[in-house]
Amino acid sequence: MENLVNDLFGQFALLQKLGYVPTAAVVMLTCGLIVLNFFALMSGLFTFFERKVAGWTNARRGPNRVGPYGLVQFMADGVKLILKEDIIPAAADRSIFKFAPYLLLLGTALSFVVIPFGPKWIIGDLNVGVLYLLATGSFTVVGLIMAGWASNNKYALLGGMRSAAQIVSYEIPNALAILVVVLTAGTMSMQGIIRAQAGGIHHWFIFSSPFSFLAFFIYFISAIAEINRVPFDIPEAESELVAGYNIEYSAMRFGVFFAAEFGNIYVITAVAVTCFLGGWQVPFLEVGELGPLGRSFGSFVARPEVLMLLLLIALAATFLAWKALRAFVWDVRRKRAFFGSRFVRFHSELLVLGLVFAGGALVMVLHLPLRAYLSTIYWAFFQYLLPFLVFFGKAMLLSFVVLWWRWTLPRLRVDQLMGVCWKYLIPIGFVCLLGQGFWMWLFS
Amino acid sequence: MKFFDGIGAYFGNIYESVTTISMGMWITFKTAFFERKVTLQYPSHDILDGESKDASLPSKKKLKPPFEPLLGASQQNYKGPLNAELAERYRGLLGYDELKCISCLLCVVNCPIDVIRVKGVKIEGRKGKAPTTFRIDYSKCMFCGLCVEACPTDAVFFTRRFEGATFEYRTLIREFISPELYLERLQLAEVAKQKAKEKKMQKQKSEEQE
Repeated sequence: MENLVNDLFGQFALLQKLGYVPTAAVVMLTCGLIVLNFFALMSGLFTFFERKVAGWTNARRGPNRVGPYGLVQFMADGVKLILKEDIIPAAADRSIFKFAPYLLLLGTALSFVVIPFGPKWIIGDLNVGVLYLLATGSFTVVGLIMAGWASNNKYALLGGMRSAAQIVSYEIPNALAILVVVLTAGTMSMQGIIRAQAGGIHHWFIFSSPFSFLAFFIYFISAIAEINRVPFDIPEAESELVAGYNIEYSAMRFGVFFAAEFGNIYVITAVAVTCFLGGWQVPFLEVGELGPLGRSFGSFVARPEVLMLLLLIALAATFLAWKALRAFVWDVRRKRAFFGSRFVRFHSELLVLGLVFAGGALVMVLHLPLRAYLSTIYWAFFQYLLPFLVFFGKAMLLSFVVLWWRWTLPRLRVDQLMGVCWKYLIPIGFVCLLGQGFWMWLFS
Repeated sequence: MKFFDGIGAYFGNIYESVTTISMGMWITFKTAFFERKVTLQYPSHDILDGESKDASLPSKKKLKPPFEPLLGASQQNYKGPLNAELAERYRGLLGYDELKCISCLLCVVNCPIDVIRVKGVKIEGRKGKAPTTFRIDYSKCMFCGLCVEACPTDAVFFTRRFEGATFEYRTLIREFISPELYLERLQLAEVAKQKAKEKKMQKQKSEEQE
């Protein structure tokens, strides 16, 4: 139970009788399907999230019509894009024009292979994970240049060239910042880097030394530049290049470009979380190999940090109950019916949370005769669900920052962009690398 | 000396970018989470307070979003100022006050595309003729306002309503006088005619007696 590829190999016992190659093919297909679906879902959700954040920063609401909170908006957009006419310019280089968006997509989707979701959840834990990420990131450049060249359009070509210059330059500080992490962790595997950060928040690489703290910001800035997002989106600067490299693309090919771009947001935030923010490590809780339930449920609850967590949950539950009670009083005073009531309309989420807490309390009460059963549930929770939620939450918070930047900062000029990279990020990156080595020599 | 100036400028640039970026981010953060949302969720909200209630067109069913948005749920009962913000002489759908109308047909004469149809009868206790038919074909009307300007009694006027869209073509032809009123008017007209006849007869009789 280390990664999905090995797990599946173990699972397909019947297939293995047919031989190695068919088993490998089936495993590859399954993993590819999982990766692609997760990638598509993430990029779709990010288009929604982007529009929502755009709305918020403009004091608007953002999409809220399709599905609950507008969450299914991306499906509607996708269907629209698929149904639209796909135009290929007459003078375009047809084969390259057709292939370019999928190369971009490939570069992004491949990165999802090494992104972990928990101590046991990863598609393939490569021992060169971080290097692999840097390598797959370079697919993007090729895809962008191909798109720019094949469109046979001046603006597209300029956009492609700009993106090549930008991405190639920004890969250096990116790699330097990651090198700081590799230096500290002593491994390039993603899970290995996360395991090296076990033992509390002060062991996370962002807080472990001043140099890796700086490296985090270098990584973050250069990663945003690598995925061509504002404020570094000169390849598609609409004031200068209309739309840049994707100017001639329409329908789903255009959609694929955007899916890749939005999927990239998750990739860079997930890598930042893995390398600097402790990955799936939960603050104040140890979710390592054995999990907190190494011994028994009673000793687990008796631990001070668990007691603190329970206290926090109780406080939150009290607060929610208070809000729900206020809404209920509001309804009773105005004699509102159940479904027209403020309690149900505005606090339906409280209702759900309350039910969850009540269920939790019930389980706590009933746990004594069900100890073995319960400990399995708790084990699964701390091994799979909690680390996943923590990792995902950290990545989402960080990607909110990415979107927040996009709706705050103006675009850089080309020379400013290069200046930031070569004059600031790269020298500071080298200082970080040397400093981190010195720091480790000093303190170990 | 120049070298140290350069160093100062270098770190000054970093300092300046960090501070200015954080200032900008704080502004957008404030807007995103602490400011009132300006969106008018038009079909879900009654933005035309008052006037839409006595609408002559069938009122639309109020739409509700499937779930209330998480943020700013307390602003759901917001009634927009749209009605107040419309211009004073806004040309919305045409309104009609049958109590004022004298069926002079000036609107019909003035209409450049003949979208108005008026019929009137003489009844008792009313100046001019009382209308029995007042019909506007909104599918042709271009809201030029010539009928409104021509009307001597202000019976035809512009409302501020603009939600005129319907699903069927024929519903765009608006009857402003109900069938009941139409029948009542016809009866009253009969009465008035008979009374007039009687008056005439009496006059003739009195003339004959004289």
